[in-house]
Amino acid sequence: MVANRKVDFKGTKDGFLIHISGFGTFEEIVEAIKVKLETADSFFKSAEIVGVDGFNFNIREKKILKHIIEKQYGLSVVSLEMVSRTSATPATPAAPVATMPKKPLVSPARKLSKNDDTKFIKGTIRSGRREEHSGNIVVLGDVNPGAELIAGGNIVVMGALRGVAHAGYPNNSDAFVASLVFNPVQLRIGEIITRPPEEEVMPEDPEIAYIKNGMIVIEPYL
Amino acid sequence: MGEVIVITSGKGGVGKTTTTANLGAGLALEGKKVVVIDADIGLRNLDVVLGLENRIVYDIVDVVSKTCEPKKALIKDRRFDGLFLLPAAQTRDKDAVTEAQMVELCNSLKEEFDFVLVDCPAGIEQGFKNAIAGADRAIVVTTPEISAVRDADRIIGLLEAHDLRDPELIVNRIRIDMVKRGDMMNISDMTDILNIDIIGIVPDDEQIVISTNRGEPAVKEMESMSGKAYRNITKRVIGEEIPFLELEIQEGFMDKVMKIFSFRR
Repeated sequence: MVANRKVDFKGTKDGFLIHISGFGTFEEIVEAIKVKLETADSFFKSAEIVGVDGFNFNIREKKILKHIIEKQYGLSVVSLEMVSRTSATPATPAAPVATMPKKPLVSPARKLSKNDDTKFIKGTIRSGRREEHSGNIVVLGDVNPGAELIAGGNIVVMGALRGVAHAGYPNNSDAFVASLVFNPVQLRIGEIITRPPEEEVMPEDPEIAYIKNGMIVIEPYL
Repeated sequence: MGEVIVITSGKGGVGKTTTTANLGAGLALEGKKVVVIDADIGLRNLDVVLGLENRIVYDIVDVVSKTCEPKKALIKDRRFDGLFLLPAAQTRDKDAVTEAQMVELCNSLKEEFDFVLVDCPAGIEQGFKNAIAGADRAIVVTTPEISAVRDADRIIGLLEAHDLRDPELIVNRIRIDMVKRGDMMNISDMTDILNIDIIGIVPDDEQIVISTNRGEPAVKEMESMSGKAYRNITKRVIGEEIPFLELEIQEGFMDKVMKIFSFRR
């Protein structure tokens, strides 16, 4: 019973899943998750937890765990719903439900929760400054070359974007980046990195970048 | 009570020292009492540009370590009434002075002088921190090159973080002919990115090389274009409204055209 106790953070394209195996009580799992996050240092910082595999938390446990993960370690919890492919029982933990082999790993709560927290920054973000936030970032000013914006959600620059922008960090491919003058040194959305074409095209209209068919596309949004 | 102005840039070789020397001399010509401090300890230059190297006895490290009185270390420039230099130490490094000591030094000097100009070293390390520590106001020097503008942007961010709000910009070594051909960044390219007020545009001028090598600030040379630019900057620093910058370029450009014509005649 005690053998093979393990907590793992597995990256998926939507965020991290917590894999739990061989644990008895909720307290033991919490301890193991704390140890895991502590040893990983800031690796998981501003990462998104999208589900749990191998253990079914009740509502109270989810609340406690969410609090610990978000407040103590700076991750964002989208869902702690059990997503195991062999025994998916999200609504009623007690009642055994027919197994759904191809259940998507994403909870529907995810898309909504991304929009709930936005950081507003007023003024020019100059070279050497780095702004990180697990939700969205809105800049009321320019983002200059040498500056970096990293958001778990979307990035909107109400000015010129000339630095590096990473929306949907680390792996949210639904995020977008938009700005009035769209001229970033480098652009990252989720796990995809792109840079502007070599020839200089001065953008005139406000533009938006998002992922379409696994590629970042940039187009005017007005 | 005077004002402490730090002249900084981030990147090296853009003309901080030349600007400090000319602004200092220019302010003295305007009848102000000025001290220029060389904060580039270990790589001192300001004394050479001002032609005062052979008169150094004591330096900034002697002053902050209380080896001598500030008055004893100050070198009076005999050509410009009211201009004094506090030289850097050449045999020490940036750690020989602390930020607190710089604050104390600046505060004591501004009791007596109208302007205290601090010539900041390149970089963003201890030397930079020292140089800006006691400043009330900052002037950022850049040249029309992407690398210099990038560094200026970084510096402006650091100045703002140290509560030196609204630094002013000097664009040095601009070549009007190249700007007109579109081969050099123009003024609006730079102000678009840096987003601060511009206080002067200095054309690329052979005269400045000659005068720097001779140790004579160009600001007193009535004929030279850069000298004229520095006189305008001086006036703007003391709060005079001097005609618009684009006009200054035009004027400089027209001067050049006139010169060519007069030559041919």
